[in-house]
Amino acid sequence: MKRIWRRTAVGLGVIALVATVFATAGGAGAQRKSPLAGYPRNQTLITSGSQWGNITGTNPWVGGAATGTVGLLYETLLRFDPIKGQYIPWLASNASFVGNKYVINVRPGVKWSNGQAFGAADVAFNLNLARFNTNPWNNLYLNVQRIVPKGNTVTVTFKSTPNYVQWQNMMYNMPMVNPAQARPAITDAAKLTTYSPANPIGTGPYTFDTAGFDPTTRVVYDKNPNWWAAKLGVSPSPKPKYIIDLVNTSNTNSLSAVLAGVEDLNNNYLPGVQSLVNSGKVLTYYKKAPYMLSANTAWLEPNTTHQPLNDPVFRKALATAINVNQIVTQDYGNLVLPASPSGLLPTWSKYIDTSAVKKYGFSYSTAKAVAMLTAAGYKKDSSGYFMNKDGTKINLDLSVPQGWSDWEAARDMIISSAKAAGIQITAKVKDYNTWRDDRNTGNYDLVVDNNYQISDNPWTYWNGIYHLPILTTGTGQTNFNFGRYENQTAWALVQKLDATPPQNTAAIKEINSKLETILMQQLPIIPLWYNGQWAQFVSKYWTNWPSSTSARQYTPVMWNGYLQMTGIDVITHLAPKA
Amino acid sequence: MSTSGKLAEPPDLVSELEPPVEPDAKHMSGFRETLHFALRNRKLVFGLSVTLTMLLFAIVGPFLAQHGPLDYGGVLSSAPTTKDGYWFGTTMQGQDVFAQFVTGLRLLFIVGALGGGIAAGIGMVVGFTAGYRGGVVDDILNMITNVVLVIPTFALLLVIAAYLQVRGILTEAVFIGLTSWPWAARALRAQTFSLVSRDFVDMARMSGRSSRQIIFKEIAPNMSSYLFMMFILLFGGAVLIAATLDFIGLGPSGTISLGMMMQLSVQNAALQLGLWWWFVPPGLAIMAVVGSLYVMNVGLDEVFNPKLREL
Amino acid sequence: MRGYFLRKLGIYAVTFVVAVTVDWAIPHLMPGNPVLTLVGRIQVQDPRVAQNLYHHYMRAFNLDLPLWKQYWYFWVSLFHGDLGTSILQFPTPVTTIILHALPYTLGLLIPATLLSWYAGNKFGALAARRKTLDNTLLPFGYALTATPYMWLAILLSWVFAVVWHVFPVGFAYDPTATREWSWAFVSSLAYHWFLPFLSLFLVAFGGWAIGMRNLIIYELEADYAHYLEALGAPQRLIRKYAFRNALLPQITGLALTLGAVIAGALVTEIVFSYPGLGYQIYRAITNEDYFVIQGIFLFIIIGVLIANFVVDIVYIIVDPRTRIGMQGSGS
Repeated sequence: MKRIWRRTAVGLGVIALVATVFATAGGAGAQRKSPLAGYPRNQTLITSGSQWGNITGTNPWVGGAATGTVGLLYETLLRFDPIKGQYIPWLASNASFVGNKYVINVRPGVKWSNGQAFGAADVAFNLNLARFNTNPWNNLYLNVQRIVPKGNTVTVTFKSTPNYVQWQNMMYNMPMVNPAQARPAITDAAKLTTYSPANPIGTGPYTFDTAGFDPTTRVVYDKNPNWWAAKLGVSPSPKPKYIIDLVNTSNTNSLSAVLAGVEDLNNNYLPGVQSLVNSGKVLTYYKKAPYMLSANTAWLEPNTTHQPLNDPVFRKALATAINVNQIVTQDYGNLVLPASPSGLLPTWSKYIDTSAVKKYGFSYSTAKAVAMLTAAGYKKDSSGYFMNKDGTKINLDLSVPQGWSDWEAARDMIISSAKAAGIQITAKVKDYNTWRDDRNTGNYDLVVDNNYQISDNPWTYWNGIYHLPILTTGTGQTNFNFGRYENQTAWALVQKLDATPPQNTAAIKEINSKLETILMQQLPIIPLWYNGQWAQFVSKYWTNWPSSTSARQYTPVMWNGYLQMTGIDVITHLAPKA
Repeated sequence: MSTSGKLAEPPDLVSELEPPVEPDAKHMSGFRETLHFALRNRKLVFGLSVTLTMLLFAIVGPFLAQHGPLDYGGVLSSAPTTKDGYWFGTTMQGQDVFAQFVTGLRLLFIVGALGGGIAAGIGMVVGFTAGYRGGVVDDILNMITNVVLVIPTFALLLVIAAYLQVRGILTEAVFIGLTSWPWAARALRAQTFSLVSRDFVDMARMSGRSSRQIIFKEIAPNMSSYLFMMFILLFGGAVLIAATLDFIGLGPSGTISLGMMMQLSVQNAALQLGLWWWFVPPGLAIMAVVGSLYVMNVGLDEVFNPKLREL
Repeated sequence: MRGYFLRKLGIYAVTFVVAVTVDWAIPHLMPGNPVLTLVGRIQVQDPRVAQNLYHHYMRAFNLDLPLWKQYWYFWVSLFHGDLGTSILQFPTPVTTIILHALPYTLGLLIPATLLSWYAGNKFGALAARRKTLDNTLLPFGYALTATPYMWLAILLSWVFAVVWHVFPVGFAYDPTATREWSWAFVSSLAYHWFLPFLSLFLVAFGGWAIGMRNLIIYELEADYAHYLEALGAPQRLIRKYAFRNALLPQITGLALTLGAVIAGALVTEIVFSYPGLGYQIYRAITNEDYFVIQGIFLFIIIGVLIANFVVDIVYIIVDPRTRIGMQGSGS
């Protein structure tokens, strides 16, 4: 008997010993500073929050590529600062419309990471890649007559009126890939979607580290010692020698990683982060509410082909019945801001027509909502809910993707505040794919949605809201106008905006004002709140993070499209913790 | 077979090697004798009392709760307090954890009973028929059992649950029942085999009874205790599968269950923020109910099988 | 003997075909279109481009072919070892995804299953003999086996990783480690592996321990045990025979529980952000990535069939009665 006990004790002891050995050795091994053992932690910037799911490679046009493919590895001709609202000359020292031609002046002295010079021919090559119908800018290419590189300049001539806004927007989104690598590989439209060389050559401040790449776990970038921007003094040289971006699997593990100092910067939505900011454990852009910069507008999308959502007065009453403040304070704990009735993000404040907002905007008032409906001729039925004018019951369905808990809470709050005003809404639960497909095919009454990120021009919003024609076959509406709102005047204005040269500031202002007025009068979408540029960071290894009270007012986000805004400035201004 | 693995059931808490009950001649005193031992068996008493307490809690609880499970309005993320009836504290969105807990507890019993019952039903039909008929019928049923056994049923449930647009607790229970019967069928088949060769069955056959009558009137009653224990195990299994499905995000819509509470708490960083009152009670409840059921089962085994009583 | 094996193989073959068909069918019968997710991820300004991309991908994945043709192509590529290309992680082939994730899942499953089986059986046998152990530690066994996998994972993560910082919260290895066979990397792997492993181990351990304990008790009450006792055989001998007899159902149980432990591994991987098969299949299902779902299911099916077959062989070796039985009838 005793032997059994002894054996058990020994067995357990061995297990405990082995576990302790692993724990300490593992812990110690991970901290070792020698470069032979791994990437030295105090020279590495570790980020996460952008990569959901395995990394598919470095294709800069199709989704799923490694974080930083555009921004760290490949760069764009211009960059855009959304806080100041200005373009930043980058690979191009100037890119603008001259008459009805587009002239790009390539900055002299820019080099690829293999030392070769970057010039006008490279720019022309990349612009010409838009001829493939799988390229995101193919529609712009259809309007191009000629692209002529000459010396340090590329001149683009158009067939008809240029798309002023879209073209300018493309300047800070189209990545410059290396023609010597890409030309032999991309021979047709299909190859464009699979292009992912093992050792991609870009102009950016970092290069792709093939040895460290693990598609299920992380992507590693090494500092490019010959980065043109540092050499030409255009930007400070970044201090992190390595950047590692981790694949996300869950929000909360990211939070633990940030708190433990395993990650420096995290771009997940982490509910409850306010308490951590207040106790000084993590940093955010703002020290108090709303803590985060705004990224896009979340809005209520009504299907304007369904009764009574086809009545703008009803939509206005619905908007007036929603208690957005409850959502902002109770659901998000003030991590977001309530949206302006115009729906435009704070970055476009110079386009917001404040007098129109005062005149046509809406704000929360149950009594007003009821009054509006009653005045318009809606009557209540026996259960206290308003009926359609033809006497049929109103019972709208509202859906959000299942599992998006903050939206689910918002949905429930919308339903209860609408109920107080006599509008009956029922929650319908759908998983993400079903929700998206129903939204695209018009099989819904109401959805909470958000689509268009911050950009250089509110045109991207107007295009999303008013875009015509409405596709009734095939995939349905895949990108725009999910509410199926048909307003020819508005759409004509949107197209006119794209056809207005940027120097006609007066005309631009007028068109925007008209579009805002139409929006607030008609409410094809009901703006609710601004989602944040979720970003929390710690200064365990790196300091000099951006903040609203410092000179470093940059977008601390690594998501697609943000690095080439001012995300890269965040990295180039970091200083190692002494 | 063992009790490892949540989703394949632990058939060997019930012996496969011996039928648990002798065909009884003295019915009345046999029952009294069983009851006598039942009340003395510590495991049975313990398991039964815990289960019944939780069941009572599940029935009465929702009436005690002062808020609806999905209502907002409480102070965000507050610890358990006696104020306003937030005895189990609130979630990060200010919902009442106590109300959610008792709602989830109710759903636990519903899904267990329904899922376990359906699985037991199918298992009985397949097992009895295969065991009694033998031959080709047995081979075919065996193959069907094998196929359902081999298909990663949990993954299958995931796919089906993702396929359904609106998920109710009943659909969840039905699907769980439809996929957890194979081991029950196998065990019952083995038991039926061993009983089929007994004298009393031969007598029944000779006296011209139909197969169905023989199965339901002669064989099943002899295995009644076995069947009951099997149902308990299936109940526990169904509860665990449902909790896991809910945790992944495929729980019933429009309500809240214990698995969903765990999922939401993890999603909302309850671990990192120390909101223990949100994720500890749900798991504890599942552990308590399923664990006490298993303990009760072992106790029942001892009660019904006289040979085990000595220990 | 040969007849027995042939029959078994026959049954497995039929099971394989049916299972594979079901495996192929379910993802395709799900509503919704995964290509739309893919297209939606690309920020296009013009719906014409979106339509182009949509048709391009539909053709690339054979999704514009009739269903029976897709089924046929599935079998053909299966025999070429080609499991297709992931839709969500286009253009990564499914086999690549599986091979990347497989080591992590096997690294959790195999040690956890085997160790818990071994330790659980030994412990259960011990508890069957010593009443003190039976009354004090065995209740933990019941608690463990009744614990949902993810709850234990959450608790372990909370106590050891968040509160006490003894183990890491997740991931497969330290983000700054270089992937090479060095002591630093291997120890980092082990360090991150321990908590997920422990969580799977503990729950399974409880189950095996209880099972073994109950089986031994049965055996000790069997006729042959009493007979040996009456003959004056030493307790150890009786217990040895009892243990061996009790082991038989445990072996079959091992194969049966494989499918179940995989489910446990899935939720454990989610809690610990461990990049194994479980996490991949979860993402594939929520994003309708047909080919990844099919591929991983297939792996699981084949694994379970092989495990069943191995267990059948082991059972024959271990249990002489089945050998005799086979010689009698066609089993």
